Amino acid sequence: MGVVERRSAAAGLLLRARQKAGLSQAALAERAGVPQTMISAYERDRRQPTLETLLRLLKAAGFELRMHLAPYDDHDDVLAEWEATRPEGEHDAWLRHVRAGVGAVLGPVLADE
Amino acid sequence: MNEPGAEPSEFRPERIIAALNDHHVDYVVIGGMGAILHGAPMPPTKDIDVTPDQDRENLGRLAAALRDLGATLRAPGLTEGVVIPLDDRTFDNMTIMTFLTDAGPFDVSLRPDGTEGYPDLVRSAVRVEFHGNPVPVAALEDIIRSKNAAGRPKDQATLPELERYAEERSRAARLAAQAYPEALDAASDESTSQRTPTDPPDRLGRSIGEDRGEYRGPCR
Repeated sequence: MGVVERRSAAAGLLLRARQKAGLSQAALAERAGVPQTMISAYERDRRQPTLETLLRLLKAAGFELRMHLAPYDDHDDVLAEWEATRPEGEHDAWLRHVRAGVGAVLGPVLADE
Repeated sequence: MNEPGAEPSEFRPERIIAALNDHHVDYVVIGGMGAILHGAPMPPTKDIDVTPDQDRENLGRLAAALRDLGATLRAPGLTEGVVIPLDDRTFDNMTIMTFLTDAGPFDVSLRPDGTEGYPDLVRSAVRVEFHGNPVPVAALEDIIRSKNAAGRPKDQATLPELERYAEERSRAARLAAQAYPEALDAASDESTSQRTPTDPPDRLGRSIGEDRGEYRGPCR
């Protein structure tokens, strides 16, 4: 089983917007007046758009980005520090272990109450 | 016990789940592990997030499970977890707490973004078998709702696959409902089932009891 790609937030936003708009890369590129290869490069993280370019592409897909500042959430820093302590090579074995353990759906929780 | 200076704990979420179940804690799994339990394509996550019922007695049971797991409170920059009293008051005035246990990282999120906490999430939650343990998992749509509300950059990176997977699964369920309307009505009246995969599918588009196949999303 392959591993799901890790992508940047910009790539994820662009892909989500395009999916929600039901547009192909070519259709979005035409709307935005850019080459289709640019859309592909951004979605695959081969290139990173500037914020202004991202906003322009999102607009072409019919979306805008609302932003606000929030206190920094250090939760992932804690996790990253823990992960750094793990032995090399454990990661893939762990992933196989977790996915191998996922079994059947047993039913709704509230049906038991 | 996760004592100072001890070796870092291997991540074994099934042990965390077993401890919660042994102590009869009311909770639902959310976040990345919740999505994985739904069979969704997710980048690997090495922690498990749960939202507990905030009933005082339930929080006491949760604290007991944490004690059994040797839980310490983690904070960035500290090489060792902080030993804190673990009882029903541990979670007072907290929104999220990150613990390190004998079985790896464990987050308790009392009210995930975009939700009203346990009463909201348990409504649509399902039990999924995980390494032999029944695990209450928030509905995938609720997990997506919370990630969308959080608006974090890392969630933007994973939401495309999650939303696409949820849509495809929903479409499969609609098709199943069209094909087996009478059987689905009967299925909704039953609790756990010993059905075979040849039985009519459940509301999630799978036969109750059918093992979930691997979702082959975008791969490296």
